[in-house]
Amino acid sequence: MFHDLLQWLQDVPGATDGDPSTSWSQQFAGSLHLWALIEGTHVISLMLFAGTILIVDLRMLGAAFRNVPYSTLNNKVLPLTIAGFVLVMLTGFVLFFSNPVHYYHSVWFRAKVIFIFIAAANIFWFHFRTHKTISEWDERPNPPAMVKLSASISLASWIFVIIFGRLMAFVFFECESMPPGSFGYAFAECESEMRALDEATEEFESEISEEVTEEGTEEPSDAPAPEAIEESTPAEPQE
Amino acid sequence: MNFATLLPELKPALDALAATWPFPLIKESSWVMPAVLCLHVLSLAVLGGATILPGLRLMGAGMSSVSASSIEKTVRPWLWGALVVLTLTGFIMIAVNTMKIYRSPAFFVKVLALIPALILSLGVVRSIASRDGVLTERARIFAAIAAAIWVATILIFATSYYAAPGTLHITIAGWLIVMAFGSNRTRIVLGAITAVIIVWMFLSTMLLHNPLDDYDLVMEIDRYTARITALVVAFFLVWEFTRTRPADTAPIANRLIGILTILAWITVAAAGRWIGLGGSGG
Repeated sequence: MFHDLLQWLQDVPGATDGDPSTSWSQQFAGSLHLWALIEGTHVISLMLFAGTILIVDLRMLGAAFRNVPYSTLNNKVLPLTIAGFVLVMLTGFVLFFSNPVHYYHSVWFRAKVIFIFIAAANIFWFHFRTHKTISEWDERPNPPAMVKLSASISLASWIFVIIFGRLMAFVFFECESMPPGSFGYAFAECESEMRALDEATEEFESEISEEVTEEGTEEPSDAPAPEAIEESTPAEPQE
Repeated sequence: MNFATLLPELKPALDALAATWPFPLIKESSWVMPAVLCLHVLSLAVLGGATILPGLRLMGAGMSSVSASSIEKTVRPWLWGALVVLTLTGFIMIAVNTMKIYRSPAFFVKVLALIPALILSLGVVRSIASRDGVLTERARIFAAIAAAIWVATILIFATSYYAAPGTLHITIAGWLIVMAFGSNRTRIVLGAITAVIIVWMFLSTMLLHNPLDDYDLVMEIDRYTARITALVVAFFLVWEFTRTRPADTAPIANRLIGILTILAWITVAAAGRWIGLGGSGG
């Protein structure tokens, strides 16, 4: 759906003389320290974001701070969570920008986004429905089932978001390795990715053969295999 | 600095560890390490909640209406749980990557940083919190030892060739603490200084030099800008949180211990992340 737009984002803005490798996105991806600093900040911000949301959710489950009113956590801890969330989202968007096409077709990234939406829907539901009845359960050590349900959904979805986010560094399910027609292939919109790769390969091969003809050589055996120009996925940074 | 140069006699033991069941199998498996890494990062998040909240409480911030002892007691099982899982998963990560870890300057920094972080969280913070703010002489001595080790760790971190950029995470954390809990005037001044530093970085890398031609010069500028920024943030942290204002409830020593505890754990996490990001050797 957004493949072409993201391909443009990856190759065009900032590029000099139409050379994609000089675009902002690719320069950022290839930067010596900046990418690593943003990625590190993304992970460390989880300590603030997920660490504090855990405490709030535990209170909603009646599992921690049972004799502290929920509103205390809502007023004193949630602002920290929101600050952490802003950090995580900002760094997350910047990281996405470093390799948008790859992440767009990543099964893990898509799963992660789904759970972010589930968590967001849960937040809205809680804020606009359950939270309205706060005066009834604010000081209760054991909040009602609706509150606990929201907390459980929140905890579960953020755990999945973190797990899928961590797995994004691994190349289990790449478009190149999944059989066409499989669920993963459709889920990651691999068709547009593979079509783009095929086109790039054809273009590259025709350029090569033109060069070969110009040089008057008949043997195209030096032409690199199609894989050679496929964008290499950023491997796990050597854990 | 790394363990390979400091403790060369460890190598046979590490080779034996790498060959011990089940680590070769784990290394071969395609899914065990990803699962271990997921558990490690999930526990890191838990550790964050379990250290940041008591740390802030000692500063008189965060859940200030709840007693410090109640906060410390509530997060303690989560702190221990996170530490146990982090240690177990961390041990597996070491055992399947012995030589990389052994030579990693970032891992050395991480182990060093763990000493003050553990002394503070398990000893000093617990002692102060359980007495609801009273700092005993013993706790004061341990806090001073932890502070000294932490400063030494930061100096090693900042001069480590591969992992040094990771110190910026600690600067950012300190900056956020000032911006979140400092007075308005302090925020404005630090914000203005930050803007000047950002403009300076932009000018020095984008306009004054061609990054490819003047690589060494640009690196040198980056290095010194990062160090000066860290000193500026450190100055603001100390200046802001050692002043006594009418609204303050927490003693100055407790505030500094709270900040130090948070920054010590950020140091552990930052060095840990740069084992993967910062390459090895050096």
